[in-house]
Amino acid sequence: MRRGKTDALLSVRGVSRRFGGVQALEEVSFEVRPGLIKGIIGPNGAGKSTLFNLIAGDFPPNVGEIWFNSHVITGLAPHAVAALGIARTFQTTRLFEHMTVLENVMVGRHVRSRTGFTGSILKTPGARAEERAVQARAGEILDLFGLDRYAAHSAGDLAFGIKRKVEFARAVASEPALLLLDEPAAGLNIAETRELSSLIATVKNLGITVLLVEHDMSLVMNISDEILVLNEGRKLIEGAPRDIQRNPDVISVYLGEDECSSSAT
Amino acid sequence: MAARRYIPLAIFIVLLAVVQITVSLAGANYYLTQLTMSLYYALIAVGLCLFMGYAGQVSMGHAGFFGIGAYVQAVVTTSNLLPFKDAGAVRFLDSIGFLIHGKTTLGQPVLYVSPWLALLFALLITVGIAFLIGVPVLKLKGHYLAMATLGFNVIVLTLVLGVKPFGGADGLSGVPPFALVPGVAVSGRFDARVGNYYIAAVLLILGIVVAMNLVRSRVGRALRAIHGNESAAGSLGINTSRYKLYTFVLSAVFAALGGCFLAHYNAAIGPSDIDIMKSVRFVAIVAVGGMDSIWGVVYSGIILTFISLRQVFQSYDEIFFALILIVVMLFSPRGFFRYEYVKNALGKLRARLRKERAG
Repeated sequence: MRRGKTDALLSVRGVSRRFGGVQALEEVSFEVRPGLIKGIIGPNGAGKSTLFNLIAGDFPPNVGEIWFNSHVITGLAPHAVAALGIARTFQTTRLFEHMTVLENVMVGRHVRSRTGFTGSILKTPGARAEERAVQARAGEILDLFGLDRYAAHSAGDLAFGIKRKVEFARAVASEPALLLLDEPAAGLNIAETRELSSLIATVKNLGITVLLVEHDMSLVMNISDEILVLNEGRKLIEGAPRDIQRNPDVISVYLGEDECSSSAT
Repeated sequence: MAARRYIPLAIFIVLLAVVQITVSLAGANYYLTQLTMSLYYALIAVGLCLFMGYAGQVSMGHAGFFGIGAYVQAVVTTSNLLPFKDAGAVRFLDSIGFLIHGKTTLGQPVLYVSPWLALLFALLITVGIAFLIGVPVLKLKGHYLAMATLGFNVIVLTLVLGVKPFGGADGLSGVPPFALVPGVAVSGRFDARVGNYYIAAVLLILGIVVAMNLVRSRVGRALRAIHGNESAAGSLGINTSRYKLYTFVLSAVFAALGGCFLAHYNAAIGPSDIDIMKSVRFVAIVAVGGMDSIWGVVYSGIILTFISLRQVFQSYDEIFFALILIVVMLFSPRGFFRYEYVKNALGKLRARLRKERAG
């Protein structure tokens, strides 16, 4: 296990997590370098979601440490992890359904603003100025995502694909250093998936590092700079998409042993 | 845009004045007594609306906080310090003007703590207790939270009944007037009815402004986010337990403030004012008002309290409030008076008219 500083943005070190009798993750270590897109793949039950939830602070690992920007973040609550610059989306979209799209994205600016109870109640000049800035920045994010025409819509009334996009925009609004995307293409059609892939590229150009779990292989292979393969709670392999595609272990995990030998020829 | 927010406030102020002038011209000033009390109860409802409608939590114990405010205020201002007037602490408080030399209704001289100081004390105690209760209790959700806060209400009621200085079943009476500034006092005197109506109105308006500013801010947005989806709110950096706790404390302060002023206005406070059915009543008022609609809650608070105080339901009062709660929860869990319902209805009407014109 490496110790001390590395140039990685996120460093997961020897992390294990058990749920009752199920070992969901075992001794998983990997790093995410800044500025890149890293994909996590693996069959169902490989521990991808558990890994995501550990990083986001939903629950702590039984063993191991997670470092982010030279902070240990293991054991921190989700809001504290978010405050350090990690934003996320959820496998099933979790929008604030009774709020407008603009308001949803404005909540995304929470960590980038500071007005508290007193400032809000007294409506201080600082609070007003900050509120205007939050609204303006949220408007820009909506433009960037092509969501400006939905700004005043209630989030609960939107079509599924648009909801996904709003959740993505809301996470980006916090201008995180690291963005965790949990199966962002799930349930999207081909056109929407193509749009998603170009949005992820846009986000990368904003300087945001992306870690994503995804089942859509062509999406992951096309946009990822690096790929981590999990299988049965363990790290199988890590590398460039091209190498992962050719790796016999990966093929056998996905296709089963028998097909492996025939497809290798 | 900004000015439009204040139109409902202006309408409300005009309505308050119209009601007072009409009642006074009709020679029916006795209505003002119940109206004044209704305004104080509406203040409590506005505070609870922040906690229930915005933060999306539930409290079946706000009559407990109302009671803490009213009882602390009453105990402090009805304690005669004359026998202790030579004690160092009493002499010191007297010398800096924190004590009041007054007379009881029977004309005996008394020395008591200034209601302003008592108010500060009552609110500090409320904040302290709300924090102490809130930290463990707010870990609960839904009906578990409702039951825990109900338990808190029971504790307050039992203490009040069992601890001697709180007057047991008789409660406390003889609470002196509260002179806000020289010449303006919170009291139930008949010739001060009009003035007191406006004192309550100003306090309520201040409460409304505080609530409106809060909900239209970063904090209000965070509260609605917690209401909408707590885990998503947390993932965006909102410290959900802290926001819930602060809102709980703020709503407790609203309730206590109403209690403090009502204790002076009625010159008394008793255990029947703080029992569980009063907490149910506050929840019913907020539910009828539309949960997260401050103006809906203001109007439902004033109107429902007023008709209840006018004895419209006689001894079926509590049944009435329990019944509305059931009906609201069954048929309109997001509340009755919602602006969006009006808006939707108007939209449908407009669409139909347009269709008829086209066809």
